[in-house]
Amino acid sequence: MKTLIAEDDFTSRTIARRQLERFGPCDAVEDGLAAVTAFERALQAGRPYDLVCLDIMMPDMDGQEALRRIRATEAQMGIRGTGEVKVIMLSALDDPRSVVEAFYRGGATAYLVKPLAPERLESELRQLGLLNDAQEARRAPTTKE
Amino acid sequence: MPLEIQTIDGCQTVCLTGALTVWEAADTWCALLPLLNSAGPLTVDLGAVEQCDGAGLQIVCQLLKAADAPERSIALSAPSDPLRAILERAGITASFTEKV
Amino acid sequence: MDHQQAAYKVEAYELLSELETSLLELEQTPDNKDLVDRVFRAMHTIKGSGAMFGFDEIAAFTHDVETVFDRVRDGHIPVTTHLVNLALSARDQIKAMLDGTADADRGTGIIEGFRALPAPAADTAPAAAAPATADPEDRAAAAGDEQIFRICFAPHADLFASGTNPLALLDELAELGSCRVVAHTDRLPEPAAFDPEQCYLRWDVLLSTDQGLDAVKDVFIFAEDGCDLSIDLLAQGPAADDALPRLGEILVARGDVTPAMVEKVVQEQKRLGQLLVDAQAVRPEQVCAALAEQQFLEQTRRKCDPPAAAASVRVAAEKLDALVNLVGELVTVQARLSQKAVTDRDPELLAITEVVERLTAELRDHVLSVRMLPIETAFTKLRRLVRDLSGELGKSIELHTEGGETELDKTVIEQLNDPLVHILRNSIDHGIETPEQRRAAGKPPQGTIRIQAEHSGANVLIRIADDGAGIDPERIRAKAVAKGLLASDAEKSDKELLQMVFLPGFSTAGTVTSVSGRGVGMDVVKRSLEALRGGIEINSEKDRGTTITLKLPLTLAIIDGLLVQIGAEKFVLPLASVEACVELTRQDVADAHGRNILNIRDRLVPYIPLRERFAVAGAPPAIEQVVINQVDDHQVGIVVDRVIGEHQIVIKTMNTLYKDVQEISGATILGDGTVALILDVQQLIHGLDQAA
Repeated sequence: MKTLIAEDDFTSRTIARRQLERFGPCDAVEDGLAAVTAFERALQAGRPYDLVCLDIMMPDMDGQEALRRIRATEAQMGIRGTGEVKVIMLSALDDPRSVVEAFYRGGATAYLVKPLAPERLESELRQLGLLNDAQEARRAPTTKE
Repeated sequence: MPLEIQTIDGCQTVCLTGALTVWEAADTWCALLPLLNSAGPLTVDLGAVEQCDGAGLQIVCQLLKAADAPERSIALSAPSDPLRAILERAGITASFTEKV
Repeated sequence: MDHQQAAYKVEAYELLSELETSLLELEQTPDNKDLVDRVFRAMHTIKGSGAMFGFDEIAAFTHDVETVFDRVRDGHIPVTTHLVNLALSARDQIKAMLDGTADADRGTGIIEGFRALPAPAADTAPAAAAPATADPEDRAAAAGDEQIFRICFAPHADLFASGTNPLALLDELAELGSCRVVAHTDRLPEPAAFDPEQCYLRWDVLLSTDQGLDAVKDVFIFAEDGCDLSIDLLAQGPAADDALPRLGEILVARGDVTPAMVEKVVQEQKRLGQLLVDAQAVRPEQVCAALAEQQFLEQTRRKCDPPAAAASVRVAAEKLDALVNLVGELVTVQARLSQKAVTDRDPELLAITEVVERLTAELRDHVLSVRMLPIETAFTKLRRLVRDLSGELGKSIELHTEGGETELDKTVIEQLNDPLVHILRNSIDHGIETPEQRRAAGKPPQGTIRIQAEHSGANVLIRIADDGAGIDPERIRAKAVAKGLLASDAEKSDKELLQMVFLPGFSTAGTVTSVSGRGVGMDVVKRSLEALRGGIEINSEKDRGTTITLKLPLTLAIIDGLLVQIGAEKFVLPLASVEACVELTRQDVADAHGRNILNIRDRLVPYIPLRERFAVAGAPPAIEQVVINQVDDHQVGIVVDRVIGEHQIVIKTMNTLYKDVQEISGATILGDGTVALILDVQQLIHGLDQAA
């Protein structure tokens, strides 16, 4: 499972990365624009991400906007339905408006409220069908940048 | 392309008329160059240019550059409508002294 | 958590109404993948967010629905009317669950319905089931897609010698699409070294075209050997929504600067272009060209993009109402201020009041416009009504709406809903015939109801037209006679007979159905429209259909009025119906021999002396004024002592004590603090009819 994390806060980014690196390679960026760019590059290079985790409150371009752009890029490439990348919104914001916006306007796959508990993340990943037994068994910590 | 040169109050005015294409370019430039090199104030009137191609355009560019140079007092007066359109299509932005 | 749940409900209700719209649209265009996506997302949102805010039952219920739509969007399950029906009932169930009025059995039934949908069989999952491919090559090859190219065209010095005019090439490019040309003069030598027969200019062209790369290449087919040419595809497709490349990125991509150089100057946080020029890394014209490219990309994108959802703020309706009230008071005070300035003849004060007047007017318009909503919001509910009712009655009906973008005051729209529903029910139930009846009458089996909204001066007209059986005037007559509303020998034109449907207690349906015969008649509709200061008209042609026209004011809060005076009393006539003002002399009165009729340009116009009508004490002046009003098809004069002038007035409703005074629709406070009553001209004239 190849993951992209966008999170401006260093601590949160590190935590998310440690949790997700157990399941495969993991890239981390600091704002929404960088996330969109990284997403598009990976897509164009034919090595798309399996999961994108977006913080909502980030400087310059926030997670909501990044999510919309990612979905727009996919729509433009003709990627639809289950072909779309799974996007988990990670946010300290838990007001219904922002949740509904992420899901409905943005097309988020899931929405987790920070702080992020490892079990919660894992069960979400399993529900999204991103984890299979082999991956879980491996849990190889990768240190690739 | 005939050039009409007038001198009023020590100020030279040169008027370019008709076609300004690769066929006229060499002659026109020969006539213009000494004027550009002379010291006095010079006005180039582009109001009667009817036709202009890439070569003609380069001459207009040279004139624009000369008009931009701070050490010379060279003014370009308003280009004709056809020339204005050509400048726009060729992506050349320039400011002109409007004809009075 | 409580206030969060409340906030969640607000979001969820909104989502459900959008879901309904999407489903109804989907039924019309089952192949629309965007709609399928939207429906899926709505279900997914309800499921995901419901669980977060403690609505676990809703989340669980929606889960199964979502699963089905997941398969629909992957092409495994086709969109059918049955599916839309199920989804609509699921939507209603979710709404009931939010309301706390859900019937669990009904929910189970719906879920079973979803589970019974055809399971994906291998043979029913054709190409659509294959994982969506994202092959950029495919897209590039697709003809007809808008693409943006950057063409760097640098002719060799001897280009002119081959007889090629570079300007002609640029013109050819321009014919392919919209293009932005930037010329580079950097290769032009000093005048002394300049050879006018050599080519020094070079160009960058940004071209947005749907003709494809080959068409672009064809332009240069004869000049290829005489120039350095590079053609890059910058952007693909109209909906490109990715970030615009930054200036630095463009310069780097064009090879004008190195990334390291950009990085270095960016740190100083000034305008990048200026910095690069200052650093002598690029020449100004290179920056200009890059800027032009950025601008062009932005413009092209803006042209292609549908307007994005505007950033908006949600405001409680009461706050808006309070704001309107305040503005109303401000308008009143401002009028007083203006009056004071005029009486005091203080030039400085006059100047200030003029500004205040202008600002107040602008503020008023803005505040009122904030309350305006597109009427489409009311139409959406009707679509569902038509769909469900026609199904129930076994009729096939198509609903067309036009002018949904027409804006009306929020309050008007809210109060419009019931009358619209009632009229539509009538049309569906009594107007449109069954398919068999229609076929027998030589009509297409599917009936049509058309709703149009449009502006007409200070009013909005809403026309509801069906192509049904129409209303038979003779049946109205029979009914009216039977109900004792009409003398059996009364002579009435068809048009007058039609108007009788607005009489209290009138219902023309042969049989009372569950749909429209509920005791609420057209009289209620008429009254609710009059309460909105609107009106209703009916036109019908037997066998051809019925058209009902509603007339509504744009706003309820402020109107333009004509201020008039009788004795010491002031009254306001709504300016909308005022046609003219004429004088009434004693001689005119004498000429009419006691009949209140005035001859205006050879037309006899009846008039109402307000002084008598309202029993105002005192004698009228020698010359009175008649304000001619146009109401429906009649001209009627209203006689007053004096016409003061046009005023913008804020309507205050009067308390219930005055509710029986039909001639007065409200009151307003004038600039000097006195009260003026607003006349309801329609009612005044109605009184005249009855007296006549």
